[in-house]
Amino acid sequence: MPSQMRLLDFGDGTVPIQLDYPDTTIFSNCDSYGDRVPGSHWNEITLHHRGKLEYSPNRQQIIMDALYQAVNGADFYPVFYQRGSKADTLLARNCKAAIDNLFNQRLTISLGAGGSLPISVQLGVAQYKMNQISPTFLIARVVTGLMKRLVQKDGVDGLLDLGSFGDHPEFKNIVVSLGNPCILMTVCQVIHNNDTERFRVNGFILANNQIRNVRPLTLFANVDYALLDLRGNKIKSADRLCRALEQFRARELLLEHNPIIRTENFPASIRPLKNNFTLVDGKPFDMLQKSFSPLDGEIDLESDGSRIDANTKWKVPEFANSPDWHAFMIPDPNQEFSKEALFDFFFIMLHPSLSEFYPCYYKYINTDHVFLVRNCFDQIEHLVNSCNLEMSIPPDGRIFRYYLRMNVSTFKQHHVDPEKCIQKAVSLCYVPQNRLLNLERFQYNKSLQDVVVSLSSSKILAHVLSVASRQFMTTCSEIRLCRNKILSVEKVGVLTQMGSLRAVDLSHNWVHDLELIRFLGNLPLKSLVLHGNPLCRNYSLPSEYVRAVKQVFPQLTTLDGVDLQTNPGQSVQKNFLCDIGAYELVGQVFIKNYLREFESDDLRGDLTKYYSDNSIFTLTCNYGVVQNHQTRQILPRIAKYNKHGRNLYNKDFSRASNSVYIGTNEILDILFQLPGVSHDYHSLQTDVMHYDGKSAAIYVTGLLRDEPPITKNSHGNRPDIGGVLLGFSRKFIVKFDEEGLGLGKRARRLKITNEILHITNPSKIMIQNAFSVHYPDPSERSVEEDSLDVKDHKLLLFQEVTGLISTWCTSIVEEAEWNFERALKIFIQKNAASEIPSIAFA
Amino acid sequence: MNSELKAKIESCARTADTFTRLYYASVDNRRHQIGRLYLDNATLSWNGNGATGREMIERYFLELPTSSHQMNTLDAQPIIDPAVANQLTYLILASGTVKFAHQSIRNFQQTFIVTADNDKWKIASDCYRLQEVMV
Repeated sequence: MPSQMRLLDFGDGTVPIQLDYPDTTIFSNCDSYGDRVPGSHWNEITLHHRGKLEYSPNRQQIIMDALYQAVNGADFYPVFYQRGSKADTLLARNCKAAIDNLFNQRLTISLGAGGSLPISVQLGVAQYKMNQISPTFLIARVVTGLMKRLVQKDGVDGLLDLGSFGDHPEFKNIVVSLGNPCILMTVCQVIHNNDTERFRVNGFILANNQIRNVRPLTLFANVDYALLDLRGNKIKSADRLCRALEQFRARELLLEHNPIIRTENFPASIRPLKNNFTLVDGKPFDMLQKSFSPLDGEIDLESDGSRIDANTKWKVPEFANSPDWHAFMIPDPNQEFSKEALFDFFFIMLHPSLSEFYPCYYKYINTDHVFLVRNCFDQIEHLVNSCNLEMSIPPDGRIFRYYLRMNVSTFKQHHVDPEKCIQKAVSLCYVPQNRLLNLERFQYNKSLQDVVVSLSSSKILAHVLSVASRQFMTTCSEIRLCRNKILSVEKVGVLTQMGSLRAVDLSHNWVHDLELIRFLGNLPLKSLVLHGNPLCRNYSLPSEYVRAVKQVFPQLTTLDGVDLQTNPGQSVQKNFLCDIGAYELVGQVFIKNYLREFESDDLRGDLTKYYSDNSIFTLTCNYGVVQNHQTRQILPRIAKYNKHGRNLYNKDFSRASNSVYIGTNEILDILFQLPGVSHDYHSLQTDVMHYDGKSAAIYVTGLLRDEPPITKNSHGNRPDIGGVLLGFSRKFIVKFDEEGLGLGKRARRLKITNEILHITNPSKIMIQNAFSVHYPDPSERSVEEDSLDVKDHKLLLFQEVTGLISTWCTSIVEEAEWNFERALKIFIQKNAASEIPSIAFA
Repeated sequence: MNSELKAKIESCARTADTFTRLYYASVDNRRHQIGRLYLDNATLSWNGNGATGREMIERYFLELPTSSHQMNTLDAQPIIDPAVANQLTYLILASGTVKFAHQSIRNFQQTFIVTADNDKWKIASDCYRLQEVMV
């Protein structure tokens, strides 16, 4: 406790504060300060975080935010925030109401997320003298200064920049945050009372200030401002926002990065502000939906623009210099193609050397796939004249005819600009700590929601890479381009300027031949990843593949993550899959689930579902116990496996059928007798040796920890060696049930016909790395992508419940980001609002 | 357990024993003949490196250093598939230690699916996993 006398001299010309603690009473966990009075002298507040917030990067912000909530708007201007290992302290004066509010909460403030923090208060720790540090004075001085230096942003000038206000250097000895309602009020009053400068203010930047409530802005009622920038705050309540801004008018309101955006009723909840702002986050108020599209109301595809089809091809040259949007209309009444498949086929027809082609605002409307493009007349001409507005679909070459509506809309400021989207998307992909540009599944970047950027076009790929190289010319050392349907990498001379680039990951693309990426051979690459490309199939042996790649990339030291110094084709690969169709079996669909269920006492019984009366289970144990100080403890643990195990090597075969367990009951009985374990999921190596859709052979090897049995209270002797690390492997032969009927009919059931469990000594490396990587329990995961099977299943279920046809199901479930509960809510809302037409129901 | 199944399990055990002895003798001493033990369309995963077809598997083995295997445990089960009731197929797991050329002794395990092809046992799939140096 800081109870000795101290002098606080801030060195800024103010009179020092002399802390002498005349009143030694420290209040904590109580609701009254008795007969004492928190007058105009300094009070000390101690915040007992006890080191618990040590790892949060912004401890002071978290604590202060909680404190502002607790004082509930009362005057409170803290100064001299001191960080301590167990407790932080601050001083404040003239804050009786605030202190009363703190006592009302028994001197405990809530940190949100269920946490709370005790505080203590010592009154009158230092006497107030004239000309001591004054937060209100400092704030007024800074605000007045800023009003003299109005800024310009995005073409709007006269803006008062109060962004990240608390970070101002003048505030180093006081605690300023516009999240503190009384400080925001002070700031607004200073502005309002400045009669000479106030009229020059054309807008407010209040971004990044922890603001929850903007009530003081009522002071600026009935003036027409250009901008109110509230981005990056904590505004959540639409109700409060609407009340505060009831009389506030500006051309544009910026609300990005506020919790309100993610609330369910947004943007409907801020409709009362419709007449106050023309634009919200760059979009017209009327079109403020989760995603804006001019196809929702702005453009009438029946009447806008001129139709170009096979009969009106001659009209095309008229549009040669049009900067407007053109709509592609691709009839597909049965919606045979998903958006992704449609563009896969569509991009095949485009001419590789003509303009880049960026379809925007894709949507399936009535019976057509519709999207908009602009600034690509040469491609349109090519599609009209050379391709005859036809799209042939492999493998049978079926022809789809489509048409265009040219000049359906002029380009408006709030429309999407592919170029800007790409720049933003690329900058979002850079991970500076790793000097990594991660463009994996580039199309899924959230900046590309409204535009298709197909890297299968080598020209677009080259463009994206040139944007990247301009942004990260010297810093970037690795580019990941996985899963982008890339066919070839050509004309990317810009990459040679990226002086630090040493690694490129092209895995899971569509490259058919090494020749198509020969260009990359000009770069001094050390590492290249090509697996998952058709070109790998051109080689039947790993050594042939490595030789061919090294011819093009002579400097390579690592290929597909494998060190090329070792003998080609003999280094260890974690997983082997004989057939890509079996991919999901080694993940959540089978192996991981099986292991999770085996681990848990509660779930081990659930394994019943995998067995039938014909299932066979055996166990072998090849664990050599080494003589050391732990031998005595390890032996009984291993014995539990040996007890049920068998070994046919050099044995009498007439006893071969001992320790062979047949059928669900016998097997479950054995599984329950085996000790509790935890698997090290990072150690797993899997091999799928056979898969034909009816049956599969799946093997997994890895490390497990044999957990000590939980000792009952009646026994005093606790196990003293804890978990024992064991190598294990499981061999499964499984078969799939015939497809079921009814709900979830596509989800197949899997039965184990044969299972072998093998226990062995772990290797040194396995022990060193044991459990070093934490794998989250799938039941805890929140936003992880569902597997395709799971998605299928959800769709079917949703269809069953709602009776909607599949396209409507898909669109709603996707809108809900595959959260089933949310999807149902959306359905109920839409249905109640009559937004679902009767044809949507099957 | 009925006697029919019991007999199947016993005969499976005998086959596994004979077959693995033959296999390790071949792979250690007569590598060039190893292809004979595989079906034409067999699958090999050698520490995760795949090879498909007898010819590829043969070529893969010829690139490996010389080996010397010592089997410690053996387990085997008949795979009973009512769809192909006449086709005898066994799942075999062998484990032990191995020394490759000048490398140190390591643990290995190998899982075969073998099937009766005319009157001979042939490998349909072969999965070989090697461990690093023993503790």
